[in-house]
Amino acid sequence: MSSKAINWMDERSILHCITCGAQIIDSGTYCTSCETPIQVSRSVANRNTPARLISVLGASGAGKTVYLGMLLDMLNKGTGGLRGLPNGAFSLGVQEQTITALENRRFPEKTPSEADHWQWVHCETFDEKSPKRKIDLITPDLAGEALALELEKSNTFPTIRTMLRNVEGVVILFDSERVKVAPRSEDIFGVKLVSYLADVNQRPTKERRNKIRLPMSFVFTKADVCADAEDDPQHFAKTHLPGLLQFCERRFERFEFFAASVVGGSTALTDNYGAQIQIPLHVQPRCIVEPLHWVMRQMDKRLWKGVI
Amino acid sequence: MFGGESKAAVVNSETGIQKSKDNPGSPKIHFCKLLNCENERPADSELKRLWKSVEQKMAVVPSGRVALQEIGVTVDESNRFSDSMRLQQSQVESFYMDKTAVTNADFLQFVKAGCYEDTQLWDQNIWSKVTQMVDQSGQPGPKFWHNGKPPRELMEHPVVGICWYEAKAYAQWVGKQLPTAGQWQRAATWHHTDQDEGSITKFTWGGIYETQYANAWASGIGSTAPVDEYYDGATPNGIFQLIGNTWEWIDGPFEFQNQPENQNDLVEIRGGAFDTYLDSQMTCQFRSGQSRSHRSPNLGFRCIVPVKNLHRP
Ligand SMILES: Nc1nc2c(ncn2[C@@H]2O[C@H](COP(=O)(O)OP(=O)(O)O)[C@@H](O)[C@H]2O)c(=O)[nH]1
Ligand SMILES: [Mg+2]
Repeated sequence: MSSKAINWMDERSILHCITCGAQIIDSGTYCTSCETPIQVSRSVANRNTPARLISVLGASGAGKTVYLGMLLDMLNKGTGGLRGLPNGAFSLGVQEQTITALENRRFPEKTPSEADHWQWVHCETFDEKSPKRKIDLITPDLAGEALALELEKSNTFPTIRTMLRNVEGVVILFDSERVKVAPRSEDIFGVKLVSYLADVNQRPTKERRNKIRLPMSFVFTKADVCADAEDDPQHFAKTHLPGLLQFCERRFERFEFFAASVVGGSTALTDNYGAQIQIPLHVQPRCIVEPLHWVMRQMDKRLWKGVI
Repeated sequence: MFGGESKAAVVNSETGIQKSKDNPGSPKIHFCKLLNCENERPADSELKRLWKSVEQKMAVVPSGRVALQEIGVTVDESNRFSDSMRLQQSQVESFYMDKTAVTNADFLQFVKAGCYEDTQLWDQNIWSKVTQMVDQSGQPGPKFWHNGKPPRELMEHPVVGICWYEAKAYAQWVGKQLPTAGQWQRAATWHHTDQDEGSITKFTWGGIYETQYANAWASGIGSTAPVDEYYDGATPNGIFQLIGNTWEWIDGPFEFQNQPENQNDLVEIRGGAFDTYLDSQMTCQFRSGQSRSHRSPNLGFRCIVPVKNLHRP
């Protein structure tokens, strides 16, 4: 399923795009067929082991930027047996801006939605126990509602489709507060997302009876403000996202629920226009690397039944 | 009854089992209990003995001034945030502070004494909440205990999973108080400068963060440590772990500018915990907050008693 990266083929340096597998000439900035930054494919090609993609997904406001920024910083320092090297200016920027903002008791600025090209976070990650087995945490910082639009109408954004067909694992974020107050709409979004993933990852007909092996970890973010999610994420999913849970049980072999938070608390502040803004109180990451680690371990499990 | 402004004499806790050769497995009790004695003064010999136990379990913090950082964020004309750099000067009278955080073993005495049922210890407004302050088995007690008891191996760890009201009730029961922000900061900084002004020393041991001096995220332990570890991070008068291990409840609201009215249930917490990620957030000066009824695995407390509240030996 994963696209093999190819080494330098000749002087003109032909690469394979790590997202869509297209042959690309190593010049310019983005892959012409799927818009993945060429620099990401180049660094994978240099490393000499194939790309293995894990993507972080979630609706706008689910907490992707904050989660990713924290995750990158923790991977960079080495946490819970995982290490990572954020790659490229944008990835470093997400890490840096998130931490600086939190240090100043602020959440990072919202991702601007008018960008022509999506910004891609890429972080080469490995388990310290098997440092040669690199995985690529790769996620376009989806502007606005792109993911939601793609789920409504497939191929609105071919990049998303290509990426989700080629990932070997996903981390899916849900805002736990929103799940609690508006469970129906979150459940519907969740079902749309996993049925999309089921669609693009469906294997040939004769294997249909088997469940899809793509490991998925579901993360309830902002758990610091939602004790129900924090205390028992599995049960929280069962009571609030029953449709999603049923779909996963029917079609997917491996999925797990987590509750994560970056801060130990937040509070509201009124700005000059009378609007309330959330500010973080102190940084206290919980369950940030675990969902990723779980997916990585699942990817390494050889689960082909009957094959020795 | 106890504490507050009333004169208190000192008694060694009647339950104060000391670690000894006969009793090697039993936990150390880190607290001493003070008794109100407005009406009756204990005999001098008794008082002397009791004072010794205060000297053992508590440390005196000399009076002086502290500069409290005005909390948080201000919003400027163009609606951008910036951190307030203003300092509030505050005068602190001398007081005794518990050398260690209140341990599970200490708190067990409070639970065993039936204090959750003692209405005198709790504000009437929260009586209904007190019935919900239960452990994993539904017994009165800290959130992470079972059957009214802490795990055996955690006896000398700080008690956590207790809300601010529980900390207050315990403090009252032992005849003490929770520290104010000024008192807590004075305890952490008195030895650096008399004024605690101008140059700020960030940690109890000096200006530079050292992972081995306090239990924080960077120490990689990921849970609480016994209250008498991290000797190198202690203050010269022997107060342990003001920095790291657990946040500590403070007696006072967490207030800041541009706070929406009537929405704030937060009280101040200090010192950072085993899971505090940024070392800038576990300094002697950093102030954070938590909701009063929050019971979390990284938040405990210690007590103080003003010197003026104690009888002379
Ligand atoms: N309390 C709390 N709030 C969070 C946390 N993470 C994110 N938030 C809030 O959610 C908002 C949106 O987060 P962001 O990462 O920008 O979402 P994105 O649109 O998915 O990238 C932030 O501005 C914060 O107000 C968290 O761990 N705890
Ligand atoms: Mg974002």
